[in-house]
Amino acid sequence: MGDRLNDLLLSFIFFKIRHPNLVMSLLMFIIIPLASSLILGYEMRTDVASKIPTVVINNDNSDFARTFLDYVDESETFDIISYVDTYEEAEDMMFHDKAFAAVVIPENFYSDLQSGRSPVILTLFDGAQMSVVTYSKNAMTEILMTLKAAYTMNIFEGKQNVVPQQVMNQVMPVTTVTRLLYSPTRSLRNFLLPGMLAGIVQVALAISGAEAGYKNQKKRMPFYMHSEPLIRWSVIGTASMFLTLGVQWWIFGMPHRGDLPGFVLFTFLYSLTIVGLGYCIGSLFPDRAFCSQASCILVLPTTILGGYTWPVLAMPPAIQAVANCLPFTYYGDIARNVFFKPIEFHHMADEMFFMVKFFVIELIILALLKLWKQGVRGGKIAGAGKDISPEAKDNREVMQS
Amino acid sequence: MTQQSFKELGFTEKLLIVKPYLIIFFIPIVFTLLFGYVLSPVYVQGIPFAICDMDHSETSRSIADSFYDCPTFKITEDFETLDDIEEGILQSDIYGAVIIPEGFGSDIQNKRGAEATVLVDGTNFQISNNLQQYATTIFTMAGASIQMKYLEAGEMTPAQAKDSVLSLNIVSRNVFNPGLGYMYYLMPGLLAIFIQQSYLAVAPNAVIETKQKLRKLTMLSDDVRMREEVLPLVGQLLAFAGLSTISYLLSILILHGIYGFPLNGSFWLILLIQFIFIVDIAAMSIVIGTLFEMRVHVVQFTMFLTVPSILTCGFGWPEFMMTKIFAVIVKAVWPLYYYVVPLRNLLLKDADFSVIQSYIIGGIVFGAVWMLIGCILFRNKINVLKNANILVDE
Repeated sequence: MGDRLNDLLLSFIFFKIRHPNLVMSLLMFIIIPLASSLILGYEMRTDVASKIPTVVINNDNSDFARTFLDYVDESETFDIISYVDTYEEAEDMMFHDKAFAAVVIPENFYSDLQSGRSPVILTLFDGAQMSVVTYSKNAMTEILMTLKAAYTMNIFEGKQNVVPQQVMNQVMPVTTVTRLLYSPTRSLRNFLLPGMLAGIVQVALAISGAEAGYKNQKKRMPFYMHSEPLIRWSVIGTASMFLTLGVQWWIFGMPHRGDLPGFVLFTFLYSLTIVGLGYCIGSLFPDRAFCSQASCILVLPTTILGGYTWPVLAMPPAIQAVANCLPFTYYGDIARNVFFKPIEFHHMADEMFFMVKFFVIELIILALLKLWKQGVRGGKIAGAGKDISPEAKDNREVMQS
Repeated sequence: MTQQSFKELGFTEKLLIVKPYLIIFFIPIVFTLLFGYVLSPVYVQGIPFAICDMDHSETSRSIADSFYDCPTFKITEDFETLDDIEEGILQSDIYGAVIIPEGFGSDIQNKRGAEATVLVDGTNFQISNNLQQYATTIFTMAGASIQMKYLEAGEMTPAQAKDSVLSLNIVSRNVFNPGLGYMYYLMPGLLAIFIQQSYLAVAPNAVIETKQKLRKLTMLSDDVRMREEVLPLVGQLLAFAGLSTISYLLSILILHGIYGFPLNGSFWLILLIQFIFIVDIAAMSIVIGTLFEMRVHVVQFTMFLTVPSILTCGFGWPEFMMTKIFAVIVKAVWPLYYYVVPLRNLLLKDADFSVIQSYIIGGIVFGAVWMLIGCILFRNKINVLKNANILVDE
């Protein structure tokens, strides 16, 4: 058994050594993105924060308070895990990460309510856990507003002698119908995953570009020949992107409402820009590992700088200007929109045009780099001529004349 | 390498030698400065939002004015139909809209109940929450003001009317991050990732280099090999750890000094979790460095760990929302959980030892187990390479 394992290990090591690029390409374009998509999809399959551990201080033992707390507990969002006596105990549970929300019902709550003394229900949220707070706060507000509306209806019916048919119009003179378009559940998974998964694939794109650029760095070849690795890795990257995002569609039921052929073309153009970026870096530096590192350091921060989680419009103006020049700013936005909005080809046209412009600029930079490198190499060869023997120098001068 | 021989090297060679130390020291500091600045506005304001007022009554204009007065919204009234608005949201020109229909004001005057529609682009969690929250507040205030007028008309005194409308007050407080600032929430996680990635960018490479050297030293005894190669590796990992810790402390000071990030928690606890994490990540570096044969491949592999590790470590998606088995696996295979959660609790909550002790114990156990696994793997791999006579040159 031990020998067989050893043989297997050796075969794998030999295979890795003989085919290092194949192994790394498989790892970067298939295994890692696919595994990430499966793992993150499984982790976030509940979509939104649910059963948030909640602690309650109920200083009023009225039926009204109990009914309200039952309502909170029965909701999908909250799970009352404990009843405590003091505010300090509730905060301590939040301090120790045992609860993330708290509801404080004051003493004489119901009697104060009846006598019109406006009691206050206090809700506490753990601000350090923002992904939970933003969701739970809205859910708690909805529950409390419903309770308030029910109570106010009683006042109007009882004290104002308004007939029940009219009471609703007076309790809620202004009704707002809020429609959350395209992602009505406020899913955190839907919000995060399309861009984050694209962020993983873009690392593979940048690295493969850097590797190809490094490999061709010292080769003398016509400029158009550089397009072959750029196109090859962009096609592979596009396929990897669809494999990764496809897991979310096929296995985890994420919708895809946008125009798919348009998104394929857009993904290819985006892949070209990132491979091109890596290729320029790979053509510049003499250290292979550093080329990979530098290209990744350029693309990795764009998942945040591109405004995917923290919107560009909230960034300082200087960073907004930078963000507007990053391919991921447009790709992250469109990737999310393709999942949830019925966007068509023309909705992506401006972004596609940006990608084309970006790629053309990369080609110009690459051409200048190659010219510069050739100049440096030419200079070195000419410089090397200074050290050659006087006879050889004479010969060269004769040849030149 | 002696000081003399280092001096004799060219600029590029010198740079290649000091590069790992520069990476581990400067990456966290530079990125902390950058992302601190990116997230410094703290709140999302000026979100493009459309008002489609089809009523043009006094009431509808008063509600529209409230939207204009709120800095969260950047109002436009260029969208006149529902189709226009939907197209605007599809194009991301606007992120939401309020539609006030014709007859809105007269419905309120005649106590028929009026209805306005708020449309919000739900695809961006950050933006949609802000829009919905502030739009709801504006309409609630407008509704309360109208209710009070109804009650006063029904023979209540203004004070009674006010009490009735405000019969049930709801006050909401956010503890530990009162303004729900995104920077306060995100920076501990980002800092942890900068420390992790800068260490992984250099430490596994040192392991690979040692592995290759040990593979070549076949004729020497174990003691000599140990002295010649393994001890320098330990020294190098410790030097990385020291630089990483200085960089970590400086980054926290930068966050506090420049961006006003709260600096809570005991200094010794902040240092302790860093020390444990460095041991944990050094153990993982040995494992990763053992599995790969070439420096360039290990550099490439570690770059992929950024996004999956931050999304699975219980920072953005808390542990109680994971399935139990998933949480157990995450805690067993990667150490970021033992670092990022206590770091956030220390900095934001001023947590004491009792709050973070489970993470400290978990981190120590993780480091001990994976260091042992790493050392066994490392030793076995060298034997396998030697026995099979495999020599890898980059």
